[in-house]
Amino acid sequence: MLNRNILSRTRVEVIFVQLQQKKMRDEEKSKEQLLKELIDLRRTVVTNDTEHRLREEYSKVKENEQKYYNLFQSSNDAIFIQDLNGRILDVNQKLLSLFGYDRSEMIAASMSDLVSATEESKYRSALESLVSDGATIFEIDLRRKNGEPFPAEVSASMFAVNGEKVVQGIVRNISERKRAEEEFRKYRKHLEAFVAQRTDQLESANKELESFAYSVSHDLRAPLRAMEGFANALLEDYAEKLDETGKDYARRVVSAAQHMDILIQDLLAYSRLSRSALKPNEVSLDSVLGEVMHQLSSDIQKIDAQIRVERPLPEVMGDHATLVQVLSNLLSNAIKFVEPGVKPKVNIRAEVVNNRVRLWVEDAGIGIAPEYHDRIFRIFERLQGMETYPGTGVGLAIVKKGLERMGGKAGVESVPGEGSKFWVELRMRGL
Amino acid sequence: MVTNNHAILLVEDDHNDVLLIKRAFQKVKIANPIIVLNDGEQAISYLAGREPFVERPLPMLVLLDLKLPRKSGHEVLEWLRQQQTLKRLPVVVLTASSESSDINRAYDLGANSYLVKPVTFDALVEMVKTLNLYWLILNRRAEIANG
Ligand SMILES: Nc1ncnc2c1ncn2[C@@H]1O[C@H](COP(=O)(O)OP(=O)(O)O)[C@@H](O)[C@H]1O
Ligand SMILES: [Mg+2]
Repeated sequence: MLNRNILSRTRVEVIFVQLQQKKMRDEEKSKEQLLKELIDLRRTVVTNDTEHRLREEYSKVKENEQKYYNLFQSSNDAIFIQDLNGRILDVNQKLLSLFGYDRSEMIAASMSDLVSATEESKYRSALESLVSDGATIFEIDLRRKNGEPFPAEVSASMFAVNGEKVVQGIVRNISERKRAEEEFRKYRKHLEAFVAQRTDQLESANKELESFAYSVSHDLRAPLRAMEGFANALLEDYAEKLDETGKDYARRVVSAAQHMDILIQDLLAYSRLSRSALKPNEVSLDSVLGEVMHQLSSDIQKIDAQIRVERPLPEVMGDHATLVQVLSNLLSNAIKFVEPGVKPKVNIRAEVVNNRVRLWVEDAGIGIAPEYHDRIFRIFERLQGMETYPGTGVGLAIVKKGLERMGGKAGVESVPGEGSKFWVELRMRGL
Repeated sequence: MVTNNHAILLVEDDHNDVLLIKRAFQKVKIANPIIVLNDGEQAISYLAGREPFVERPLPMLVLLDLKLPRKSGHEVLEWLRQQQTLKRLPVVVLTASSESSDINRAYDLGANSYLVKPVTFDALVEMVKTLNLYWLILNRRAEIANG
């Protein structure tokens, strides 16, 4: 049996709670409306309910309320509710542990307790923009009970309770993020400094290399001129005083000096290719070849070489001076590597494959065994003795490096005894 | 001051090169006298007619090395091109360097020609032959008053 007193108290409470919820839900309703609803509600209660139903509803409401409050309290986010004057109305557990206050201290705290002194105006302007926009997110330095500051991100929204506007805010400690950002900034600065330093080093290394190349061209060649020149003078001015062996020695001095000079020039050309930046532009292979033929004209005449060019040759994207070096090396090889006594025959032609131009330099010379096709493009790699075929072994290295620098390729097809077909490939003009 | 002279001024510090160049001139049978100076400072003093070169004959051609003691060939050239009429003197750079920076700078400063010393003596003789034909025989000279 139920006590009537309890029952009536329960009824009133239910009505009150329901009313509260209504109020929360619909804050704009006027007091008259609320009064009307109160009357309606009471009528319903008085006329319809049974004891059983009332008990059920009461516990349900209690349960609901508890559920939401628990959610608020146990939320992983630190949440506060405050009025527009900055007075705190309610906070959850997480917020308390974030600031290090207990509940009553927190409710009593003023804004200057919680916000770093320098940040107060920032907080005020955030509240202002909250009033005009309804919601805002801002970063601010907050302060714990022990005075320790921490960076936070506050996302605040505004709503009304009983016609009065309140602020609900979620506070996130962003120390970790700030630290990561700071770390990142430091790292980037470090990286920038590192890159700058490396660039400096490379630049000075480049300068050093340049001055090295300079002194090579100047200083190393001077004694060579002397060797060659005076050995020559011996041969001419003292010819009667030298026997054949003496003359042979003097001739060897001359030819060794000449060889070393060519070697130095080739190495200089090679190192220049490695360090100078090439900007590819439109180059006519016809004009490149014209220049090369002119350069080699005395050699070509001397050995009576036959050179056929299938004109017109196309235009390619490349660097004129580099292409002259490349073709001059290919052509001088083509007329050099023939059986002794054989007149060199060379054919030069171009084909276009997939917007790329392949220029072929084909000879009928001694040919190259397939196992050496890669190797000969490396610097100083030669397949014959200096006596039969003089050279430095730098020519094809220049060809390869030059093509690399122009974004092209080079290669060879050859069978020993059946001549060699060297090719270089470049982008077609205008592509 | 002798103005209409046939001398050639060779500014060259390498004694081997001086010998070889003189020998090449002999081979080509060039009769013009060769005056040799071994550094850039001397070259400027000579051309300016300062002590000890007050009585110097003005050359008809300067053969100028670039890498010289005291003052570089570039500096000599720069100075020369700032002189009153002396600046008309033809200067042929004769050097070991084939670096484009050296070549460009020489022309910027007013060189008339730029030759790279060849290593082989035969090539040097060929070069001197052409030099003789062009600069000493064909080329017309400007009037040069005393600088
Ligand atoms: N057209 C060719 N025919 C046969 N062999 C060649 C030809 N071109 C190059 N080679 C081989 O490749 C080697 C490397 O060539 P290269 O780098 O130009 O050096 P070099 O011409 O100074 O010997 C040559 O010594 C030769 O053995
Ligand atoms: Mg070669």
